[in-house]
Amino acid sequence: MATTANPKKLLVVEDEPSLLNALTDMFNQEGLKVIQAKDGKTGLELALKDKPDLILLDILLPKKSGLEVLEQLRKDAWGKNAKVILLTNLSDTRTLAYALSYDVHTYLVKSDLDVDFLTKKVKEYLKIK
Amino acid sequence: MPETLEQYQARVKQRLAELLPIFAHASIGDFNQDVKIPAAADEFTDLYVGLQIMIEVVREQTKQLQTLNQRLEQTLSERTAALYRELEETAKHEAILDSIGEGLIVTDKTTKIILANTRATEILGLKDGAQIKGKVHAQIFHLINEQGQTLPVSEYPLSRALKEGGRIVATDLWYRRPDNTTFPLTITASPVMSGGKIVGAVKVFRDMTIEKNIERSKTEFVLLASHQLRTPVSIIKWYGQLLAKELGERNAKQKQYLVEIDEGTKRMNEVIGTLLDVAQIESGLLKYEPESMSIVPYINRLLEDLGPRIKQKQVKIIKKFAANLPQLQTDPKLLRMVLQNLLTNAIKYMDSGGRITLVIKNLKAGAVFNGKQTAGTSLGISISDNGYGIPPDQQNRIFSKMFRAANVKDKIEGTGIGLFITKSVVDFLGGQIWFDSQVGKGTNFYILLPLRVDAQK
Repeated sequence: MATTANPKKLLVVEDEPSLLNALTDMFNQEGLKVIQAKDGKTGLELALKDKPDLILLDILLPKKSGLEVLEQLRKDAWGKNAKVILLTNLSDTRTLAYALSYDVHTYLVKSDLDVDFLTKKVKEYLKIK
Repeated sequence: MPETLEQYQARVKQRLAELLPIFAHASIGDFNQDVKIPAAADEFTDLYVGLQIMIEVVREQTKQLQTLNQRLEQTLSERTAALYRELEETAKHEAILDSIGEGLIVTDKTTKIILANTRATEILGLKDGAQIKGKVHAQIFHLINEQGQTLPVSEYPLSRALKEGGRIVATDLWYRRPDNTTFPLTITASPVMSGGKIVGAVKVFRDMTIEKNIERSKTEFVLLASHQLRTPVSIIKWYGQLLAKELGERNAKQKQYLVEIDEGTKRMNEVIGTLLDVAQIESGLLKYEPESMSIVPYINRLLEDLGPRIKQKQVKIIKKFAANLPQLQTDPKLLRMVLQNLLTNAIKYMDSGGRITLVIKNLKAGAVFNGKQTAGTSLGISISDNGYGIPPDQQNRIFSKMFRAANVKDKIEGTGIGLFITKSVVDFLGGQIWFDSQVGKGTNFYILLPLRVDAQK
């Protein structure tokens, strides 16, 4: 278990409540501090305010799409280096293709994900053992 | 004995009186009365004779006039009848032309318009009854391509039909109306032949806005269905796995139940993916969107995505990628469908601890790759496994829809559509796919992909 003294901050932007909660639980259990956002607008605000160590960003979001969030994030001085992982259902391949051009670490297909695989990937990107 | 004055006066009076009825009749147009020439010749005889001749001439001329009149009337009625028939025919033709739901324009060889139906002017957004006859076709027809750029006149379907002499169909052009609005249309242009020579061209066109809207609705539907179906599956899967973690130590039964949930969601995912692929292909939504891409990072990425499955089955992946592979010009999402299908099949149809070898080679034109010769420069990809293999008597049906080989049909879940889609997509990408296999030893799938697929199919 990672030390909770200075827990890494993870922002999860996902509009489907069940998925958002599952992700939150998953990462809380790994000792990460999870910040939740249910829509793109909140997601962008919290990203710029809390400056998380990693952002899990869903693409299909209300109020502001994942793509827009990414666009605007990358225009910010801090945001342009923020670590972002995109979450997708592959029903949005066109948007995904555009989003990938904005320098994200990777994208993960939600329906293919195993909890273990996801937590491993996230810890990798946060450089936690 | 010479006449007396009284006798003379009486004679004159009588002669003149005899004429009065003639004049009376003549004044009402009746020239049928003959003049009675008196037996005894006198100074009036010449007058009488002259008058009679005149009457006969008038009579004759009247008769002629009447005959002429009759003939004229007959001709007139005949001509009128003919005209009505012509008008009727024309009306029928125009009715036919105008009842066609499509715009029709006929031009001569110099592209001057000689015929256009009402629908044509309607579709083109020109004023009612705008006379487009006699105008040069390109003056009326402002075509643009999908990106909004004006099309050069030489590329107009009509111009091409006149030049190339064959039927030209264009379904990806747009038209700009006089009010600057645009809409998509489908155009079919053909040359008009007479005596073996091209004398003009005919063009039929239709506003495609509705079709394009339907296409867009279909796309949106497929995307929505994809999202709506995949989300609950993710929910079940993740909570199943989280539950497993919560329960910590579990007995064999609990373990089994949780495995069933997880496996169930995996199957659902696969079926959803296949259904959506088929839906896209069948509704003709599969668009070819080429990009320049590198195959090696792409395949590595795919292997990463399949990580969980590979780990679960403890598959060993061996990569033999040639150095300095060139960029491939193709549609990545379509390529992904193909490679993902072949890889997941390889993983699926083998026991745990199996091995999959991936080979990618750069092939010059005319090179031979596993028995097939390439046309132009191509990438050769092979995916080999040491799994169950495909029985020889099933091999020729492996690419057909709904087919599953007998040796795996009852053991492993599958819809049988995967390889059908895979082959369709490879064909679509201008490539070739084939395989060889031995039961109990394994299967090798081979793909040849041209480095550049330019034409849209």
